[in-house]
Amino acid sequence: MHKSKSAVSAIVGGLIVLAILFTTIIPLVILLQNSYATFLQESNSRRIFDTDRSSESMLVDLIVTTTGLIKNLKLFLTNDGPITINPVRIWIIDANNQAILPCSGSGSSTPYIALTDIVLRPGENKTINEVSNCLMNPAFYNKVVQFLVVSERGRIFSSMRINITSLLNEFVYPYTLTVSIINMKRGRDYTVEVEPLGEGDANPRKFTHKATASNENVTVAVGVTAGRYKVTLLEDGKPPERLSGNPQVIEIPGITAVIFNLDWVKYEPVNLDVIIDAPRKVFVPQGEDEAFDVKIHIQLPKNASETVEIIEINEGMIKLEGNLPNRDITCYTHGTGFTLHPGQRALAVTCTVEVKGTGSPGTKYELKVVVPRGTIVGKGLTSGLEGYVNKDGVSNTIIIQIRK
Amino acid sequence: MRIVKLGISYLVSVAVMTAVTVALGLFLWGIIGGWAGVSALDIVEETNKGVAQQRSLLIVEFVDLQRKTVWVSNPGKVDLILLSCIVYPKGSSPPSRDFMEIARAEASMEVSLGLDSSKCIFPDSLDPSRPYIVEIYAIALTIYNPSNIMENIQWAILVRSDA
Repeated sequence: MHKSKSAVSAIVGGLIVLAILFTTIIPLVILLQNSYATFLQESNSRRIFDTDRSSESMLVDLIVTTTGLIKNLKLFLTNDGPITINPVRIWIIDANNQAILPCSGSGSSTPYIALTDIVLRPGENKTINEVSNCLMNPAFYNKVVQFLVVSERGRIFSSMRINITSLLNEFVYPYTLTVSIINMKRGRDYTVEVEPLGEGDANPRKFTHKATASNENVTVAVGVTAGRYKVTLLEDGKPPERLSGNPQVIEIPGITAVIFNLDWVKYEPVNLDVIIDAPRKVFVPQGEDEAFDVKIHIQLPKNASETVEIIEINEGMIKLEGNLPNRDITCYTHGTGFTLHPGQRALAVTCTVEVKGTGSPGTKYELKVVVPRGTIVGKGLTSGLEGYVNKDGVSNTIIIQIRK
Repeated sequence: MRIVKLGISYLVSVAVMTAVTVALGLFLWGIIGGWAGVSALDIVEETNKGVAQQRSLLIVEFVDLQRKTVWVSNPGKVDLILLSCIVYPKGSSPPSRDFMEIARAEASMEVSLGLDSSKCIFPDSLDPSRPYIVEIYAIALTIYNPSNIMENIQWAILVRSDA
């Protein structure tokens, strides 16, 4: 009876200790373990992320691609690591100056090329075309550039340092500007100057051509980048007087052709007149031979617009027509290389006609000297045109009369 | 007979002893409960900070020495408060710095954050041919305490990179 009553406080104390244990200590221990587990989980997650990050491996190269006649520079990314890589950004840097070369060609306000939805699986490779536009910027000339590719996990992969100048020479001019000079004057020097007004660039910026013939036309192709340009034509070092619209300011790629029409007189070849100086009547003794000369003159019509040089005479083409059976013609030229001014006449060929007195005295025959078209050829001294040829020429009728 | 002699009943003594035991027990329970509560809060707070630190990540993508701009991005899981940024020649002592909020970097790799010379301390003259060190302190936005600089420094991450 005594023992059972004295154990009440001990029982109460024990209950309180148990209550403390279950309501504070054990929950605290559980919380501690949970917190540790949470931290450990996060720590493991970070470790896995870091391991993935360090496992990323990518090769960055600048390559040249050719599609038809168009060549392009592209960035070639190869995932040679064991995990998938998501490239998110490309920096193009000036390796010598440790400065960013902004890609203004991409139209973006950021100084880098943002990549979206590009996934490189292990072993996969992809090309980045946007780089080509950036490199067309003149800011890249004479630079040693390096490409930095940033992955989504925060790794940075770099390319080799590339001296871009030598590489760009072939690709830097994506547009072709054609400059045509129409109706040049022979012997003059024509210079085309293409001057960038701003950031554009052109190659060549200056071109000179010496006209070898009048009214000659020439077209020059100039490699250019996008931008504004002043295109100037100079004739013997100064702007041609009669040419309007010189210089011309153009915007590439809006306008890619410029024409300077000098509007010189257009030369048209004319036919040369043939004048044949032959006797009207020749008496030939019966049964004997007789010879007489025929002189063939060539005349440049008055309406010709330039002086003509006689460059070719085909005397073998000159022939005789008529009913005289025994006849012969022998011609010789007085040389070529002489010139004819408009309206001027010159002796070109002298022919000797030999006839035989066939038939009874009093018999009459008719004979004509014929100079076919193309026997005499001339060349315009100014235009260089070789279309100056003689018309068909026929002499007057020569009467051959037989006498005793 | 002895109880009768002392004048105290047995029941009273038991009641007194029990009351004292209960009082002491409740007192002890209160003390331990209070300590446990404080400890639990501390544990949760420390764990949160540790987790936030594990989730913090900042990379220096490029240091533009010509324009004096440090380009950084945050591939981590939490937004970051950048507390200080300095660039100094490699091999020399880092200059003194202040710890205050200079920028916020969202946990996203979609954009890169530029820290120009108004946010980052650069040497007066920069020679691109010389190596430089960039150091950035950053702390997770979730544990950033603007009124406690020392705590921010304690839980901040330090990013040191060659430039």
